[in-house]
Order: sequence, then structure tokens, then C-alpha cells
Amino acid sequence: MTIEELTQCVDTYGSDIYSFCRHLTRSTAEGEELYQETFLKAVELAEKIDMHNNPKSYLISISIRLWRNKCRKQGWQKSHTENQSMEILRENGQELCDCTSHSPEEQCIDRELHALVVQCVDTLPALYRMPVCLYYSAELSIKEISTMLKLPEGTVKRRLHRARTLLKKQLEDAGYE
Amino acid sequence: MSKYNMDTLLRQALAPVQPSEQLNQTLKAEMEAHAASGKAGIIMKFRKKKIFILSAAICAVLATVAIASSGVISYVTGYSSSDEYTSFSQLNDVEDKADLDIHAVEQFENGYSFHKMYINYWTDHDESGNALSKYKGIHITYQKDGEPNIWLDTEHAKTENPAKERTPVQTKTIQGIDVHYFNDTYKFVPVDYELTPEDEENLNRDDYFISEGADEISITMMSCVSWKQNGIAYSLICDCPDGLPAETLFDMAAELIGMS
Repeated sequence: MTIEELTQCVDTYGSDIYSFCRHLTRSTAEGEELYQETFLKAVELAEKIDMHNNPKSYLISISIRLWRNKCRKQGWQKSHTENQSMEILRENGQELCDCTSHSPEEQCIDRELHALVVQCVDTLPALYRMPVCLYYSAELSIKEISTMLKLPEGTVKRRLHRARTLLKKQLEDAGYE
Repeated sequence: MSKYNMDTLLRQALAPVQPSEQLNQTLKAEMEAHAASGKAGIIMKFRKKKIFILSAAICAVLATVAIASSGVISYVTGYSSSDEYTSFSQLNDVEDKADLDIHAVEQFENGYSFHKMYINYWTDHDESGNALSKYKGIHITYQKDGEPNIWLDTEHAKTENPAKERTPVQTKTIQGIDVHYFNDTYKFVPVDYELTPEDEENLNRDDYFISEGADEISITMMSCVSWKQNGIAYSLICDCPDGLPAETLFDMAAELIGMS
């Protein structure tokens, strides 16, 4: 892949990769840094990336590798902080609300609910959080996630299902039905 | 709450968010510089005023960087090893590629002689990180036995510069052209270096810079003269622990200015 094509990927896949990085790191600042590091690493690996063979998946896998290396080096046990989630969901909530035609009251409820969803996702075990972020934030398919995480498709589906069940339970406990 | 509602809810809550235009512009500029520099990639980021990541060869050029009165203008630069030229006779080719016509000599009267040259790729950013302009420069390294290298950096002189230029240590007028001398201290530190109180104090000086990215901590002096002639900005720079006398650089500048 040429540098021009890679630069084009910033425009084409930037929002998916950016969102994934933010949710993976559970921090806007670290997500932005991971997002940039991903593309800079991609520049070094440009020759290996095939423009016509799902470059988005390759870029996401770079993000995952970089993040795991970083966590390993720093002996980092990422702990969820409400403030970080709130920061992300505030931005997400605002952007989402801008796109809907709900009434102000409904927008407020949506924001609150989305905030809680993001918080709950952050508390999921990594086993479930990774496929959730890949599926919903990076918008990858089951097959792509299966290839990336080197898991059978059935396992990916099962983990997504399990994640949804856990999240549903948490939301119901919080009073949402 | 049904499975399908949960699915919709997750799609909404975790929906992709567009990164800011500023972030993407900066990223693209860094990608281009990273690609242009190959393995010798040099990426400069201003994380904090006057702290940046760069190589010893490039940082000296920043002795002439104009510091914005309201912040810092950062430069992303790189060069491609495939654009390195080892013969002075190739200057015409280099000028064509860089779209520059410069005054340069193969050997100065003081014995410094041509070693190599290459094209620098620059991107200017404003204090918010927005890319402002891209351009190329010509870099020539001169050597002399037993002496530190001196290099000549050239680029199109900026006609509109919102930055406030630094006060030089000394200025000499040579054939009607003002040539400014700077003598700056550069402290090279590893990435994630923690600033000391002394560092913080030193950063308030105009002639003190901290550069991240080195393997170990070291301090050096960068002596530089800079001037503008026929729309080209010139800098003669030397990286030497004790600094280089102004007259040495002024004399070399005079040779270049005097070329017809």
C-alpha cells in the first residue's frame, strides 16, 4: 500500500479505528494517541498491507497489538474510572443526540442510557469487551473478528451473546427494562 | 430488554465517532514525514512549549525557528535516505527537486568542504496542531578534519510569519543583509523524561531547548547564523559542546552572501 492509499484510509476508516481505540483504552487522550500510533506503525508496515484485502482489519489488529504491548510494558492493569467513561460517553452522547430527532426529554434519557451502557461495557472482562468493541465500535463482522482474534466464529458469537446477557443484567439492575 | 434491543442499544452507544479534522490533518502530516524519512525517520511534536522530539542534525535548524507570540509553531520534518547526494555536482538536480535556487559552495575558505546533501520535507503547524503549509528545503553537510560538522539549511523564506522572532545574540550586516547569530543550549533526553525544576526554569530562556528521543541525557551547544537573501532563508549551524565563535560562521555566511 502506498502512503497516499494509507492517508486515504485515515479518511475512510478513521472514525471506526478512532472509536475502537477510544473504547479499547477507555480514555479519549490515550485513544487518540493509540489511533495516531496505529497509523504511524502502518506507515512502517505499508508494504505488507493490501489495499484490496480488508485494510481496516489489519489496522485494527495493529491497534490491538500496540495496546497489548503497551499494557505489558507498563504492567498496566487498566482500571475503569467513571470519569473516563463519562468523558467518552459525553462526547458520544452529544454526537448521537445531534443525529436523532428525539425530543429533548428523550435525548436526555438516551444520553443517560448510553452513558450507562458505555460504563457497563468498560467493566466487562476483556474476554467479552474486546469482541464487543470490535463488533460495535469498529463495526467488524463476526468473520473478521474471528480471523483477527484467531477464534472460531462460533466462539466469537458466543462471547458477544454472553456480553449482551451480562450487559442486559446490569442495565436491569440499574432499573432499565 | 430483548436481545434485539440490546443489540441496537450497543450499536448506538458505541457508534463510531469521527476524529477531529485537526487530529487527522496532523496525523496525515506525520505519516508523510514518517514515510519520507524512512528508517531515519524524524518526527517532531510539540507536546509542550519548546520541548520536541528530533535528531541532533535537525534540532539545530530550530535555532532559527520563529516562536509564535501566542504559542509554538511546530515543524514536522523528515528526509528520505534515497534523496541523499554525495557529489556537489548534483546540486542542480537537488535544486530542481526542491524548487529552490541557493547559494552554496563546495569548499569554504576556512577548509570546511562538502560532504553530502539531501532534501528536507517540512510541514508547518499552528499552535493548535493544524497543518499550515508544506515545503522542501535543501540541507548540506560540511566537514573539516578534527572539527565538528557544519551544515547549511535552506528553504523558501516565509513572507508572512505571524511568529515573533527571537532576539539574536549578535547581528552583523554583510553586504546589506542582516545576519543573526544564535547560540543555544540543547538538552537531549530519553522519551518520558521527567522535567526537573531546573529544566522548567531553563525553558523560560529563549536559548534553551529540550529534545526528547535520545538514548541518554546529554547537553550540547548549537551555534547558528541565519539570514534571508533573494527569498531564501539560510542557516549555517554547528553542533559542538563548547559552541562556535560567531566570526567563524559570519565569515562563512559572507562567502555565500557574496556569491553572484
